Amino acid sequence: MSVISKNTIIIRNFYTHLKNIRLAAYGFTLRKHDALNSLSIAFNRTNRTQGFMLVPLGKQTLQPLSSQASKVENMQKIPFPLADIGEGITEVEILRWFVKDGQQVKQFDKICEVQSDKATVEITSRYDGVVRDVQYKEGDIAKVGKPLCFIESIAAETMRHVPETIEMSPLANIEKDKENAEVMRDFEKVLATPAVRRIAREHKIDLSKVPGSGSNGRVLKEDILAYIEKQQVPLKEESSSGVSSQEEQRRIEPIRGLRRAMTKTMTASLSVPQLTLGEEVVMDRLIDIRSGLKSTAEKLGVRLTYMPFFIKATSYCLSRFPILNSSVDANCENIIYHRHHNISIAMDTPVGLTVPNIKYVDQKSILEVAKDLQVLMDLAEAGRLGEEQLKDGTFSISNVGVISGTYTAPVVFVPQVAIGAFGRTRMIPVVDSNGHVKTAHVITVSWSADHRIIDGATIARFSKLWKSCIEEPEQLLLYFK
Amino acid sequence: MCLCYFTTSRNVFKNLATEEFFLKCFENNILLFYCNSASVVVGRNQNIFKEVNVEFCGSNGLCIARRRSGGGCVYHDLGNLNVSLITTRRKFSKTRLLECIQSALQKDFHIPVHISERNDLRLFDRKVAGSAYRITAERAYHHTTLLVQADLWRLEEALHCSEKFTVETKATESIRSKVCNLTEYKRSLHIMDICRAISKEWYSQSLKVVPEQGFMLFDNDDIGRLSSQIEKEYKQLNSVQWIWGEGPAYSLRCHLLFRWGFIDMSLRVEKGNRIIGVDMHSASGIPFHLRESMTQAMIGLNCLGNVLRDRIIELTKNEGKNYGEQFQEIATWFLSNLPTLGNIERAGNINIQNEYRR
Repeated sequence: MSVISKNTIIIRNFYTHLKNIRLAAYGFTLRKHDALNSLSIAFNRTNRTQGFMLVPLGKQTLQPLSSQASKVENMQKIPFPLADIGEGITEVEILRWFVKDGQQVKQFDKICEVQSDKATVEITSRYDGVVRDVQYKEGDIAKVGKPLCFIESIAAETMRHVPETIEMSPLANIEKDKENAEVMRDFEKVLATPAVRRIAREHKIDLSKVPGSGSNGRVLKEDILAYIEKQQVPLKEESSSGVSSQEEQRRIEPIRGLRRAMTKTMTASLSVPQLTLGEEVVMDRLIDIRSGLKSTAEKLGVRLTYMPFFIKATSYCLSRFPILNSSVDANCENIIYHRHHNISIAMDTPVGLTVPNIKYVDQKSILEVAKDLQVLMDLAEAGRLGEEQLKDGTFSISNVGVISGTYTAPVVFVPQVAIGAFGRTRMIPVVDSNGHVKTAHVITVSWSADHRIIDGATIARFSKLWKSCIEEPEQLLLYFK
Repeated sequence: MCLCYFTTSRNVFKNLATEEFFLKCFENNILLFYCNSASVVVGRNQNIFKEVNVEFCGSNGLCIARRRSGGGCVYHDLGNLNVSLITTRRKFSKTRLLECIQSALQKDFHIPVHISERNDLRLFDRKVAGSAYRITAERAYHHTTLLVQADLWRLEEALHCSEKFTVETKATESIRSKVCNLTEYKRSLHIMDICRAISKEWYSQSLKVVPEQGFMLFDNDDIGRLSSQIEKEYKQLNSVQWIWGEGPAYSLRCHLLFRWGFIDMSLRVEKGNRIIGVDMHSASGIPFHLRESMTQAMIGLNCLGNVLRDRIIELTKNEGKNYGEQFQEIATWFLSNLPTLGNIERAGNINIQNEYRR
């Protein structure tokens, strides 16, 4: 049994020095460390839960490890980054430095004062050590996350558990601190005895999240047990918080699946310069025709909407303007003209935006197009669209107007070169050729095209032809094969 | 433990020192109220010439002070209530105090103020309160000034830039807003009633039992008796070096029109008010030696205070005849328009350091 004098000091630093020691149940071996030549060490065998108790006999004082500057391998220049203040602030202005290069600082000494949007903030040192390489002057703008200066100090051993008051914002989301956490991870070790660590392991708790009430922030058994209890009881909101937790007002969802595909496609479209052309088309004649044909189509088991008409009209116009039915290769060196018109239809499904296409529209009748459209829609709703339906589209159409919207600026679906979007059909007053005002059903159409190969004149002529196909559908009778 | 205090002093420096004392030396959450006599308080990183009409303040007895928190320039007088919420850094929130004031005003006085995006309190479209913050290692405060029945005419006169010079600087600029007093909405408001309402609201938000007495008086009139720390802070806040010398570097530009032509002059001044450069341009041509000698005379001197005045007078006496009437006219202009501490001295409680009198 060793004598525990009044001057017993629990020295955390020795943890790492003694990492070669194997804690056997009944025995131990000690390795004398150079730095502690002046001390004899006694190990308290009975009180294992307390960890090591190092009793200095003889000479009282333990040489502070920071004075071991001669051991060059222990001294490291640790970057001291500007911590995140929260609220999306990314930079601050340095108002004043309190330290100079080469000055000794202790933890919690003032380093500098910064200002951001009405708040002046005093930044205090996280470590003991010597200031080196001050990165900014007074009046400069410092970026959050980048080092303010470097502090030369002995790594790990002298790092004490950083108390949570250093956090700039009590509402800081864990994700925001990730960058700082990566810098700090190597230098922060949570003080806890092996017994406490075992409990943490059993319950799969991250010890750095448990507030420690022991000296130097040590996590005691009571702390971790209280934390476990708190975890199980749903937390009641404090009455003092007019400060409601921001974490409850946000939800983070990773982008996966269809949404991810849409993200990728749209990002690819960013590199394409797009021109948009809008047009208003009078739908009255088409409405009459469709209502006349509706019953016939139903007898054949086909739901006839306006879309088949739009699709077929588009196909006819594409045969007159084949450049709109092409693709550009990756380096924008070749235009690839597609022989057939595979019209992609943008569909809104419960899982996101999908764009399947109807193949060979140029060879199909309106009725066949309508049938194909119905099949695609059923598959999309069931979530069973396959690769076959999704690939090789040559021109896109979006009927977003069924939901809502009048004017749109649709985004070209790379590697296609053009897209059309239809708004709502509205009843508005129009002026006819005799100058008389009457009402008509008007739909707004917006065409977007890849301006690298399509010029305004082409798309304008295409649009004019399309408009005439819809406004005077009888003309189509002359053209269809 | 939450504490609620109203200070007895009306001196802006004593009150700011008390606030800093509560920040640094206490561990509880404190709600502090104070009223200052007529004064103008600029933010930590602002330039006084750009924000404040120094001549007006001098001739009307307004103190000019610089606080430790950031933000813009404000006017204080006895019709203006300052509220400061001092908490630990973990409990710091930019909107908590404003929400507390808003609900107090709403419940007890039915005044429909709302919190704007810039963390002001606005009554319809008029600003009634602004905010500023200070965050240190363990503690932080959020303070705000509430316009109850302030002298808005004096506010407008005091808070605009000096007309004689154009100031170019990277200092924080104040954002101007139209203001109004709360008494314009509700006639019979009194500052003490508002304090009571706010403290009651704050207690009810943070404690279960609301104490009978809303707030306690904190006697900080006799600073020396309280604590050496408050006194040290008071001395620093009341020093010329802090008030005038803590802003960032700036340049004073002026365009002077004389009978014989005009001069564009620019004085580049570093932090601490030392002139580090003088540029003079004139289309009508200034004699080289005149420009040289003026530059030589002014560089290195403090641009505030009497040192510069004395130097120019000396120069005029000794060499004025050599440079002719051009020099005389420029010198005369300088002597009458340079900001001097003489002006500022008349404004309130400032202890002039000997350095500036040399």
